[in-house]
Amino acid sequence: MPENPAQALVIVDAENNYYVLPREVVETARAAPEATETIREHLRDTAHVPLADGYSFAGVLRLPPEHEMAHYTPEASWPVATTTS
Amino acid sequence: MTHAPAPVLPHPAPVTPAARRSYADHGFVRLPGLWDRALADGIAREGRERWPHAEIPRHGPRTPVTARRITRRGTPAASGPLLARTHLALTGTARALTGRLLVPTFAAYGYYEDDDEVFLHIDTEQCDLTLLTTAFGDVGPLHVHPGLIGSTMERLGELESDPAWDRAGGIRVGYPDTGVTALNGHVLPHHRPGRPRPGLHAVAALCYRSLF
Repeated sequence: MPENPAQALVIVDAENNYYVLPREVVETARAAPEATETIREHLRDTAHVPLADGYSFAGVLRLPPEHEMAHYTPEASWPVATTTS
Repeated sequence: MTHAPAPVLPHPAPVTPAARRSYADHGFVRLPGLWDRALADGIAREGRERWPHAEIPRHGPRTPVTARRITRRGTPAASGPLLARTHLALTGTARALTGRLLVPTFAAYGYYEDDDEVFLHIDTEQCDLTLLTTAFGDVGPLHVHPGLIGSTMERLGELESDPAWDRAGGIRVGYPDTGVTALNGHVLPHHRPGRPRPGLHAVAALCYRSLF
């Protein structure tokens, strides 16, 4: 009989509120491999705390305000057609 | 001289599990009621005020079509401070909907004069999430095409250039004026067939991309 896979990660906060993160939701948050170093640089209290099923807690991300606006531009953009020849 | 009171920006609105599921399953979802009538009126007013400053943008999706298919010049666009503040205020809603660490990229009014056609395209990488709202006027629904996911812009241009392609096809999605239609615009191809619309009309687009 195949092993029953984990359906969700569950975290809990200081007030004992539980947060159930379905595997599919966790997967949508997978970071691009090339972003790993940047993420590590901004982890607060970095610590690989083993959880379960191969997951570890890596830390809390705190980005400086300029990162929030890193890709912002006041220049408008809109779809336009071009000719092929 | 009296001034209208400053519109109240949208508060980070709770995104329901049903909305998240719908966005994940279909690539779009309507989120009406994110702001009140005063903000909708403020956006409409700003959109009209910015029209004289609108220009054909230098950037954006470019659908390659045959020369005979182009019937009009591009869509003029402009930004505005109220729209920009609304854009930033909706960042939390954007993240809650997608489950991704999105950051704002640009917000703009797109103006349609007498016709509201948009060629088949996917949005640029600036738009992992596109929020669309009616700024003013009456712009027709967008038609989204899940069956064309994965198509290149060249392929989408071929379809646009093909007189036999069914321009009435796709799933029709309208936009509320006190909220948005959220669209996975960089993945889900979309177009608007266009129809005569006397006068000036505008859609506002608020784009976000994933930081990582």
